[in-house]
Amino acid sequence: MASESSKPEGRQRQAAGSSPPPAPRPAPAEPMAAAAQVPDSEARYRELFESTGDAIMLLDESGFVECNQATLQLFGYTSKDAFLRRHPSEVSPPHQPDGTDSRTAAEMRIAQAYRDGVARFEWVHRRADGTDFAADVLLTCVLLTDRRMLQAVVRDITHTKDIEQALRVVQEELEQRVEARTAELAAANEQLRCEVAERQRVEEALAFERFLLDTLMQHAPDYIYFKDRESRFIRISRALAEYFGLREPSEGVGKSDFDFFDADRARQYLADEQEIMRTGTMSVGKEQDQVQPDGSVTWMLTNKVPLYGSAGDILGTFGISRDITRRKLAELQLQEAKREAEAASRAKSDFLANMSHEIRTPMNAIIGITELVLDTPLTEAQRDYLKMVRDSGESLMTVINDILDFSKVEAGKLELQQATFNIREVLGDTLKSLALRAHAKGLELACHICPDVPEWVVADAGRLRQIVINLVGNAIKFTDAGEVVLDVSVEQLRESEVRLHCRVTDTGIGIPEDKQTLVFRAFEQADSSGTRRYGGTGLGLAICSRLVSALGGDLWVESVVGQGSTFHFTVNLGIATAAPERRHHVRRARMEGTRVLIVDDNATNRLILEEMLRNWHLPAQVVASADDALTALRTAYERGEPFDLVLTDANMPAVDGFTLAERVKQDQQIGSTVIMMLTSGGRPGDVARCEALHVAAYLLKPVKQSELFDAIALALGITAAEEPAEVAPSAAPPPRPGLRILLAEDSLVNQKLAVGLLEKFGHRVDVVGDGRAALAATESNQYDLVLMDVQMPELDGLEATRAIRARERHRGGHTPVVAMTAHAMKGDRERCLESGMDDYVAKPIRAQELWDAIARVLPSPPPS
Amino acid sequence: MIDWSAALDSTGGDEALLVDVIEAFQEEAPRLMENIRQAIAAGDTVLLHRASHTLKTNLLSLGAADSGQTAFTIEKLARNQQLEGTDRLCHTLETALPGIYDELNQYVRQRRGAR
Repeated sequence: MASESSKPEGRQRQAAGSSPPPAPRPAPAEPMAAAAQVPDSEARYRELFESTGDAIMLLDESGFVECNQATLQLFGYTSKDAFLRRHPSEVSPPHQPDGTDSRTAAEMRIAQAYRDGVARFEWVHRRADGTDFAADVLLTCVLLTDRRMLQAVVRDITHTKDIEQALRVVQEELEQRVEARTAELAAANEQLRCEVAERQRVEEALAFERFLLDTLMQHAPDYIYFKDRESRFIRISRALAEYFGLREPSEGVGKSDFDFFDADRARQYLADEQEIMRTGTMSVGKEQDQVQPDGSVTWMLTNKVPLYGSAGDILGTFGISRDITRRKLAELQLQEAKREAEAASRAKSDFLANMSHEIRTPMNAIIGITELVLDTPLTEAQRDYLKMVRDSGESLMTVINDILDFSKVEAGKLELQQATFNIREVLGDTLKSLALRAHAKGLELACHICPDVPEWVVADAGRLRQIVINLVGNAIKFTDAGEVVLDVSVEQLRESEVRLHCRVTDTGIGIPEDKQTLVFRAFEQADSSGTRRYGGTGLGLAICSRLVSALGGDLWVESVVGQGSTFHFTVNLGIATAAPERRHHVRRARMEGTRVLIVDDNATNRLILEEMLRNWHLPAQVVASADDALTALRTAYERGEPFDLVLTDANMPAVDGFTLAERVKQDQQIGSTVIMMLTSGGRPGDVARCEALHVAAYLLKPVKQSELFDAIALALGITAAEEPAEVAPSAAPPPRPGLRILLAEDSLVNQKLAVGLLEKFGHRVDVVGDGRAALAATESNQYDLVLMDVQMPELDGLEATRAIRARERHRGGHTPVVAMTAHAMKGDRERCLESGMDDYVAKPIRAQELWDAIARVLPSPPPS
Repeated sequence: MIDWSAALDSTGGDEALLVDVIEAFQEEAPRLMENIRQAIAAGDTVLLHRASHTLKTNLLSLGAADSGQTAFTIEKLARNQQLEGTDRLCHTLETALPGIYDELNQYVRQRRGAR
């Protein structure tokens, strides 16, 4: 403060120096005790007092006693008189900046100066014009003529203050700036530190990436490489370097496949890579063999991928190859083994097929010849023995067929043939073929097909038939009394497919629950004890089960021991899109309204018959006995609505069908009712009794829908000249003798043989040598049957048959044609049937086969 | 050379019919052989097929299984329009047939004698 105040003091001094010297005044007092001892010191003091630029005053407790000129100037007073005698507080504002009362503060400072000899402080004075100024005040105690007084030196420090203030502001600003700058620096520092850390982290990550890549390239057993656009290696893995015979991977850089592979292979690789770069698509899983320098072959599995730069441009390719030689060799061995296994399997199948032929041919001969011998006069014992031979032969054939079938199914050789057929006809015929066995045991055999089952379906009819024969055959075998019923209903019907649910229900011995899964296994029967009551291979159900799966269905059984079994199976069948036109419409329309009475003691049969009739809109009444039937007939007559037709079972307890017919015919009122008889057949004399009783029709159970329809139409005299007859009526009793047959056969030997056999059966035979002659012969003559060799000169049997069928389409009628073919190959039968033939026999012709074929296409005509 | 049981099987055990059939065969077989020879010479596989087919059936009907198989082989080759090897098979047939004729004749003579 002292040094800083020296400058304005200096300036004041100069300013004071330029002003006039203070007016001569009497010496106010000795300025100092020491000075007072010097005689001229008072003068000197006075001079000093006036000449100095500082404002100097002398004062005591009461106020200013003396002052110099500078004082008057400083305080703005024009004369000493106006200034002197004033108390210092009177030339001050009432209060000092610290709020103290100026009078009190001044007195305190004065007191302090007297006590201490000196006091220095800052003070705010007020000029005469009322303005204030800050001042530095130095009070010094002086002795003046033995009187203690105070000398005050007052310096205006307003400027000093301002500068101080300015300095302070500058300082503060500076400090703020320093602070801000420091903060900036700290922030920058922090950022830098973060950047350094980040950089370090990235470097570490990069180092790790490089470590991984290096590890991959160094230690992966796969051959890895990167190539440039010219397919030169940029980098290769150590494994690849070793494969190339290089010491270090770096030696491969800049080289190409041409340095390591033969030129052809290298060119191929190059082409592959160029293609990859051109299309930008990778090549995955390519397997290639490579011949090693030592001649051994290795196999490589290679993936090649385009190498894209960061800008999306293709820099080259990279790839990974793996040695798959071991896998490949195993694969090749496997293929070889598979080929061998297939060859072995084929050989086995061929063997089986041959065996089948080798066994079946002599078996057929044994059975056929035995039958022929049975037709000759024999003693009763001989007949019994021969029947045993025939029956044994037949069961042996069944066993062989089962085994062959099973092995075929097991070998996956089961081939399904899709053909359109009428399901009611096929199932009806199938059951008919089993009727004899059922009826021989006194069993009722019935077939119920729900009306919503489509008529024409597409499937393998043969297989379906096989399943039904097996299940129904089994049911008959294991049932001693009661009935066996085949029931067919729709499980699911879609536009082009139908899923049928078939049930074969019997009232037989049943299967214990613990054996119910066993029966579907091969070579198993529920009764596996040593003394089996029932024969068979035990393959039947196993075959069925597989056949059903092949037809897309399931086979299962429900059974209660002692009550019977129900075998269920489902099958998926196609619905024929262009079903052959039904020919019933005209006759059905004429049949409508016919009143029918159904008489049967068996409830199942009653249901089936009633349903069939309902389908044709024939109202039927149903009764369970002959007595009820007579009552119903008479009641109806009296009501004026007599029955037109009685459909009666022949075999009923109490009063049988024949007796019923007899009583009806004897009745005056109802005697004209048409009677149709349903019978299990087999009993000699039944036909004769029917004819004697004027029974209109005599049908073997289980009766087919179409058969019943035709029989009713016939019995009611509804003929339909406008409709052709149904194709191939069902098989039943032996064909009548005395048929007129045309034999079309070019071989003399076969002509002789066939004619000989046919004439033995009592038929008349015309012979032609080719298809054209056959066509001419059928044109001019009416034949009951044509036996047609398939292979003939001029016009072969297939073409001739087509021509005959074409002609029949215009003129009506249907002459059965049986093919004779030596091909016996798969598809032959189909080709024959397609051409319009009804059946076929294999050549060389065997008597029995010929006889069977004729029986199939020409059953006995219905009784009339 | 001839399986008489098979032959009799064809005629349902009728020996008289068998004699008739044998006579027909003796008339037809030489003609078929001639056809086969001509067909091979002319490369006519259609004729060859038909003739060998018929001969095969005839031979099998009479129980001459071996020669029947030979004829069948010719038939199969002809069906594939293949002539190669047929001449050798034809020769085999020609060699075998006289023996068959003899055996058949013997049977016919016996049957006639029996009558």
